[in-house]
Amino acid sequence: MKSVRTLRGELWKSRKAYLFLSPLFLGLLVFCYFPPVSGIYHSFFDWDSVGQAEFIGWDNYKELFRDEVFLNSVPTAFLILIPRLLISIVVPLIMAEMIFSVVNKKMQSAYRILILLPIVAPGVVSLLIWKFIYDPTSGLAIGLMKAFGWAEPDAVIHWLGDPGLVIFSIIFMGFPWIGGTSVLIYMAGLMNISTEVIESAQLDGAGVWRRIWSIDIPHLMGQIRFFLIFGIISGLQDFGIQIVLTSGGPGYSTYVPGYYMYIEAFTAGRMGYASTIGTVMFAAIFALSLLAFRMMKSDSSNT
Amino acid sequence: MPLSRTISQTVLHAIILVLIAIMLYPLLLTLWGAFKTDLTFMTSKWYPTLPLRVTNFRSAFMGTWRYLFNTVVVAGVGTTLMLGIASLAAFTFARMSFVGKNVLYFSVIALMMIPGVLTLVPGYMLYKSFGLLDSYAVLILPIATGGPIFGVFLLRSFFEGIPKDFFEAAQMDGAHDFKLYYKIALPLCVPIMGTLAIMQIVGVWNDFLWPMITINDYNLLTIAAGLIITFTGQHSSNMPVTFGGYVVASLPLVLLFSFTNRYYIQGLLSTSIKL
Repeated sequence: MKSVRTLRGELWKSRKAYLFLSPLFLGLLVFCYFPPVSGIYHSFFDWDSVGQAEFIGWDNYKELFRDEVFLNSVPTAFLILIPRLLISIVVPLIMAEMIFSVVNKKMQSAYRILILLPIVAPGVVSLLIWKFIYDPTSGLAIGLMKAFGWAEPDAVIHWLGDPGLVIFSIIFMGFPWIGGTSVLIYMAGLMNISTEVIESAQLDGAGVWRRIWSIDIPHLMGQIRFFLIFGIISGLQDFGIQIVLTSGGPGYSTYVPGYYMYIEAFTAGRMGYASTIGTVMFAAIFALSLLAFRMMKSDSSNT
Repeated sequence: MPLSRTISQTVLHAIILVLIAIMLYPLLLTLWGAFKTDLTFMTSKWYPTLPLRVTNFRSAFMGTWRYLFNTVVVAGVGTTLMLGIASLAAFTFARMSFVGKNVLYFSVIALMMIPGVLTLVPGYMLYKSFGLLDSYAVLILPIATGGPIFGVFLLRSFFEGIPKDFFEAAQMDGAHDFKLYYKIALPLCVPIMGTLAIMQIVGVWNDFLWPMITINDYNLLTIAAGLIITFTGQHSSNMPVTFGGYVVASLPLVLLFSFTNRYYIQGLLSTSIKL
């Protein structure tokens, strides 16, 4: 009896805290906890866009793992994800090392502002600009190739319309891939390396490359891990390029699972099947990021 | 400085400048493209030309002001609600003791692991069943309810870093918990709340998927979705006006960035983001 009373007393004492948390949890309960549960639940239903739901057991899952469009969209997603992920980790690191090596502090801070400038263009605008760059007849890409004599003066290149070229074009988008925010996060890490460590390395006669490889990179493993894990999570879900530029085409050559889910839900009206795709992707993303985290963790414990 | 050092520094500057130039060229192309006539654009789109034709911006602004207005309303209301809810909850988690604190905190943070692909379809159906499609509410509510998750995570550690003395002195004067939050915690966390607000506003500016799905009435679209759905199609034959629209759409972010880039850079350089 006594413990019950004290628990009740404790809860009563906590009432003010619960009051302060209530706006947060009211919103979370309805709009954040419910949808994922509803998504997994309805992956076992034939659920249409009006909201009619009929239980069909594992049928959606059986259909999904025989669905050619879905099965082909998985390798496409990795074909796009892996090069883009590597680029987004390596190029900002190189840029950070270069800006960090600039002796003139005024120039260094000027470069820091310059690399952030693309933030002011909304993401959609940069996608639409690349659409213009990739214009088959009058775009910048074909124009440059003509100027350098790599293409005939009347050549036409369907950067986004040729199944053999479109993946490359998507990966090349955003060249030179500097990523200002990532550069700054790397630079924050470089600034944290104590000057003593660097100076003693210099006294030992270690060159620039040696220093980067055996001092900087081990020190930046935390940042690299961050970019890798969040890159996997966001990269696997992303289908902005498909919506704005390719519509999954030509044919099905740029379909990724997320885009297929979007199409099934919002043009075919198959909410249940789309929920199944979402659930499978959730499981895959969760497993992959856990795996990546484990591998990187054991990696860095040696250093 | 020895000669070899000077040479290597010069080469370094040259490489950095070339890379930055390549990075900025598409943006510059858009900027001067917006000032050309249709005809000069055809013949000389790769470099800037005079005279500057300003009338493009008239059509561009006419085509985009509605979306810009909606974006400002959604980002303004949503971000304000998000900041209020997140800071009060973060203060509670950081400064008050109560039953179930760790469980509750973990249940907030765990939501960061839920990917958008899992919630997109059921979330849409939820808002649809509430009859909220085609309203400002369907755009604002996700920011006010989902936005605080990262906010609580970021602000809690900040509040925990505030020295206890600050609060104890006020408590001696008989201040209540809410007063501690309002009078002491909030003013101290203005800079970090600013960073959070910028991230949220830029997020609203960039998001096109959710408005595209939930809004049928073109008058309620936000800027990113509006550019994709109507504006680019309407002016596809006139690239200078299209580019003008892109410039107009970027202007508020240009303003935001020119006032806050120092804090953004300082914030990123001083906090170590890693796993």
